[in-house]
Amino acid sequence: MNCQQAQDLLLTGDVPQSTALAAHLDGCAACRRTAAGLAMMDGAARAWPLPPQAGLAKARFVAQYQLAPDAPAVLSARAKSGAKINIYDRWRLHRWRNLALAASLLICMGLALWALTTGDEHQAVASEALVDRMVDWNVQLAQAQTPQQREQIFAGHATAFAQELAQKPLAADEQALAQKLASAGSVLKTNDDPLTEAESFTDIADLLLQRMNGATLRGDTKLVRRLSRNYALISAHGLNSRLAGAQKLHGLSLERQRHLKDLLGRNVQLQERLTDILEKSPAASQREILRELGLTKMPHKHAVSR
Amino acid sequence: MIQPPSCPGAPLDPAARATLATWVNDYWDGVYGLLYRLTGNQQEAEDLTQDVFLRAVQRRDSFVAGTNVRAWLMRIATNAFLDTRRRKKVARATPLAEEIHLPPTNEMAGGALYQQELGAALAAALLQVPEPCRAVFLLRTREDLSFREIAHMLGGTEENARWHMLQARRRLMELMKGWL
Repeated sequence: MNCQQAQDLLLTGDVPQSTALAAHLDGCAACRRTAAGLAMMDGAARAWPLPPQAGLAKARFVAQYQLAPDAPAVLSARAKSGAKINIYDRWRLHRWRNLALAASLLICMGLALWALTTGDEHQAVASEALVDRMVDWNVQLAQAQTPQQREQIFAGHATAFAQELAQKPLAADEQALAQKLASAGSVLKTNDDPLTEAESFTDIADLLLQRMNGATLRGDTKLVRRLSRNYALISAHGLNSRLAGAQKLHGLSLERQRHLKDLLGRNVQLQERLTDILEKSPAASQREILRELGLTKMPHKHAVSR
Repeated sequence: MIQPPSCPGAPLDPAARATLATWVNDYWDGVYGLLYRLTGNQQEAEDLTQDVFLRAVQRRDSFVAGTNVRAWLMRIATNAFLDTRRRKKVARATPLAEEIHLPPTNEMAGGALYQQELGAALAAALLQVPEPCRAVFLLRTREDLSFREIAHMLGGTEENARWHMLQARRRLMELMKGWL
């Protein structure tokens, strides 16, 4: 056997039990190096890990096509057995409970924060109060039952907000959030498509989480509490209800199905980012955030990963 | 309820949904992993993986019970990938050929970092291998399929499958000569 024949056999990788090949390798250092290199290459290929996005992609697909039609019963049984369920399944399992809990907690949180705040907090920066009011405004628009109600709610505040934004200089990240809330208000006024509304609320939630993350890193617990409140409102009364509505739509075009898939994926990522922030937050802020997640205790990181 | 895009107007019935759920649970990682190594792009891998499972559930009546589901799904996945490449005339989602980095000089060949870097370099090199050869390499190396099974999957002969494997490994050895 010559080197060319040996190399072809080795490169094909379908090496028969051949004394001729073995004998050639015994006497040919170059072909032995080729054999060793191919073995190393094959080993490296077999050792490739699964990309980290595989699990998220799977979760999105499972959520989109509702691949557990008994999901509440199945998930409940799994949870009772102590099995880990990811944060998105947990959102689905407790969706209605979360909506009711968030709604009933709004009053409690408002009263608790008022009771805990000092005189300084009652004199919160005007810009922070403005953003809070704009969040409330968006929530009211989302809850309006008729186009006429939306028109009234919009008209009652839009001009005033625009004037305040023009007159009061805000910090850059606060400004971005305020502008997004203003444009979301316009969207809600004229639009009753759950997908479009869900996208607006997703964008707001994204900005809120960015600010929450920054506040957590700086140790600004007051700001984290405030942003948690806003996130709870947007999530309960805007994002979750719009996503639920969008999933019930029939006859969606391919483009809109992809849009919904994208929004569901973003929502899963929002939940995971919220969990990360939770882990970095001081204890007092954790309580507010835990309520939003519908959890009673800190989740383990790997329990919510995939 | 969302309808599968490849099956407009036909929502999943409970039996189909149960089958799809089982297959996704058992085989998603394998199919996604194959498509990721074929495409080099996570978004494209995700889109194709979804299509694979939806096509599979559409064709589930043609699947022979007791045969290898995983191999069947890998067949659908590989052909789906090759079909996209045959159809695409514009710029592909596959990234441009990445530079194959040389091994770290201060690491022993058996070290963990070396192995990690070797894996990454090999993945980049594989994207420079022609697609049919790339597919055969992955099906043989990662799925341990015989050339007969690969030929049956891709519609060629065993000899053709062997030839593709030879071409793939020859090209990879050239690209990876700093490492191997």
